[in-house]
Amino acid sequence: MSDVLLKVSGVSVSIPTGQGAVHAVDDASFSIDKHEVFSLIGESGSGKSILGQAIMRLLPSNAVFSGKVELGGMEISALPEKEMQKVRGKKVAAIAQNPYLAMNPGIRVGTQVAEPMRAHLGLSKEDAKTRTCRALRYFDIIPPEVREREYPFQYSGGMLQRAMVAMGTAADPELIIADEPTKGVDVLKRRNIAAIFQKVASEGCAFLLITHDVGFARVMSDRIAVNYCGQIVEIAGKEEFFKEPLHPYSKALLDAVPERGMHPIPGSSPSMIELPEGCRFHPRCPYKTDRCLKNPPVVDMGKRCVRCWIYA
Amino acid sequence: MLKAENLRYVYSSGLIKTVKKTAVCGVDLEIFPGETVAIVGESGCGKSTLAKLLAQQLEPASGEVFFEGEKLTGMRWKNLRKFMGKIQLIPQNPADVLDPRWTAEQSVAEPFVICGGFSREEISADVDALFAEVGLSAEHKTRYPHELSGGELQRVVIARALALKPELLVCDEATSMLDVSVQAFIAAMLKEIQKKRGIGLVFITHDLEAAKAVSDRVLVMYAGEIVEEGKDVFNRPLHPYTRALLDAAQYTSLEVVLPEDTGKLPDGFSGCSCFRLCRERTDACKEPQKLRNVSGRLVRCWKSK
Amino acid sequence: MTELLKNRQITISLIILGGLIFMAAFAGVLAPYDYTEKDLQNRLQPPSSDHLFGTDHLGRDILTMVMYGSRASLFVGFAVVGVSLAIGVTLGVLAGYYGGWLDEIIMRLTDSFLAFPSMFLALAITAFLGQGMKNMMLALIAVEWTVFARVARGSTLDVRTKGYVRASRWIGASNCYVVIKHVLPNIISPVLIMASLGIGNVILAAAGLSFLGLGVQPATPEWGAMLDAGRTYVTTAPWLMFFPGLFIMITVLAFNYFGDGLRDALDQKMKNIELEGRF
Repeated sequence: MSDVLLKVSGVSVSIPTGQGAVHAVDDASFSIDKHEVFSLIGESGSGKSILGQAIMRLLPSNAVFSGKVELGGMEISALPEKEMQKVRGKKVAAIAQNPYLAMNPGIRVGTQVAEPMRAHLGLSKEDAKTRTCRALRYFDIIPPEVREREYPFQYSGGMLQRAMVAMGTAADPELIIADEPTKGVDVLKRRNIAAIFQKVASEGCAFLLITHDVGFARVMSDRIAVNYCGQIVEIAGKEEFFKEPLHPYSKALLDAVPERGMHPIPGSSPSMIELPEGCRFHPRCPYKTDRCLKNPPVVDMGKRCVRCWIYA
Repeated sequence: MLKAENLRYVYSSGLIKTVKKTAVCGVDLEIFPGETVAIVGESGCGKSTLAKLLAQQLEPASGEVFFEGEKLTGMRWKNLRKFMGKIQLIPQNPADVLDPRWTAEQSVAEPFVICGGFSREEISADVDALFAEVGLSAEHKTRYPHELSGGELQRVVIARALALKPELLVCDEATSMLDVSVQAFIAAMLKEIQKKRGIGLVFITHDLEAAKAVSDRVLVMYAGEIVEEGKDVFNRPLHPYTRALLDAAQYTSLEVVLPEDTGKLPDGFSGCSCFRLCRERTDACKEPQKLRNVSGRLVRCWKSK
Repeated sequence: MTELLKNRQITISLIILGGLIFMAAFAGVLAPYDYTEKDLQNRLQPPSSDHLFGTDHLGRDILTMVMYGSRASLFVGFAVVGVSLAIGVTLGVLAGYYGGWLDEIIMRLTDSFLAFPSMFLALAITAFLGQGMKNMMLALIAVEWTVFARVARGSTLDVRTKGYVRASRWIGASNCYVVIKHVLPNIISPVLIMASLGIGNVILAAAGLSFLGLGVQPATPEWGAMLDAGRTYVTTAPWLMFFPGLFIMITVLAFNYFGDGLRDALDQKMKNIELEGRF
């Protein structure tokens, strides 16, 4: 039996706007194994959130989607919406960035955490309540019986974040997609988020972490993919990636981190409507050659792959 | 250059303003020209409030702020106007402080227009120079805020702040909402501007690495108080809270979830504000802690030697 | 600006309105007859090739009357809304920006005008002042300004707390500067939408007042007055009421359509901005 849980093949998403079509995702292909923590890193605006939404089939209605997404062998990109609703929350869960926006302020926390259990696992109210209390205790929200009946405003920020994770994991999903979990979050909270995620991952859940925080990705993941301007430019295991990033953009991204000297990346990201010809990074690349005016191939090097002419 | 004494600020909330939270209690701080001071701490520790107090956007409940010897606190608006150009605040979210209907060029030119006395050509030339200083090109001039990225917006805000030749820049989490790679760029740019113009820079952040890279001196804040201050704080942390922050930043010991701290201590408790967080706490911590001078550093913990 | 035109509602309504305004402006050239021309031989003629809309009880060509009538209606619409906007936005911005007792006074003033059902207020004022277009317009202004005051005040309250206003004041901007340069440009969108919807309302109200005999002087071509004149003949010669009524409907619908389209387009622009911001 294959270990592959999620397989994304040739997914492209473009969204028409007043100024032209935004090519948010172009030919994205990767796979996530069961129990694996996979990070997709890249700058804001590079289309990685859209990719996450595409997997969950939560794109805006005017988006144009092509490609294939398979979950556990089943093609979810072609499922009718009703079937997809059974998948969302049960097999694949999303954890939002901001707990105050994700949780309904007018509904008790316990009810919200229990909602996926009742909807997807068909549990009765009492069973769901027991399970909710167990989940709350697991995430250090104590005493669970009291907390279960409280409303979101009675929770502190960190606690609500954990409750949101509890809600996401309520129906025992196989894959969790977390979109920018550490945006604008201070170091202590960020560390706590890392701790919760690791706890959940240790139970066997796979993660797709979409983030721009390279340090966070480094601590959490098994494998890393780098996203630039809608394209995945490199996929590698964590150790190899941080020891030796191959793609010039990956190198520049790692050099920009304060620990390595905070060297800014020269130039600025192109607009997603008017992209450069050929390799999207070549205008800013210190190693560019004439070949770069043509689309670079994705070079498969066994355990890792790079989208760059240098390695072709 | 800038001196703050015993600043205290209290937020009241609630229906009849009964719930009070002391955001800043008894902070003393001094900033000398040409130096970069970083203020770090978790969210809610009062560093943003402190920034606004320093930049005169808020009136302290008690305490005073002096700028080049003159007392700014309690000064009338008319007299305060003289100092406005000299101290500028760079906020966390640049989109908040830019008019969505104005182009970048108009926003940066605004200080000149308001102050008056500049000719059109002078303003145009000055604006061009400012844009160049923050690394923006001519094509950014005619763009509206919604057409610019976060990093570009922040640069427009910085350009506008530099227009009246300030002597002190207070950056309130100016990079927190940006991407990591852009944060590096903006922080480096601020440092360069500070060096070139010889001005003072107060850099408030929760990112310890950025603070380390940019600053000469670091202040660590918790629950409205300064718990440690000095030059070499991150290499040799003396206060337990600083050590906790560093551990968190480096993701050490992830198995233990830090005890939940809501900033609320039991009523009548006058001991160390970190009492609930600290793993090394003892009975002596129940006494009020003062800042002690430990080998050139200021630390608010009786255990530091 | 050009992207607003991509909205179908806006384009269609603009075409219709453009046609109406053109008709009003060039009525002198376009109309087949003179509206004062009475042809008592040919009273109450149904629509024919000679008289496309038929003739009225005095033998006047209805098509001509409709064309000239558009002048009165459009003029009243734009003028009333223009003045109401000026008064209402000024008061609303002052109330919203300064707050305090000024706000209280202006709001109580607005409330007192709003306490009356608008049609009754207009009727009462016109009845008091007497017939005539000017008096009718005064009455309509009295009713309409409150709408703009409310919208302007609400938007001003929103803009007043924004960071860029604070930033400007910090550099030393005066209140006057902030209001003109920051507040006004940012409240223009909701005000414009209200204005376009308001024109439709005013035209309808003006027609109503004229229908009741309280509007324009008799013998001035105006759609509401034509409806009034045609009342007696509604069963025998329905075209006297039909055509002016039809044009009232088209004009009001066109303005409302434009206002709705504008609102949707500006909403969509906001949504697009958010969408682009998310990338």
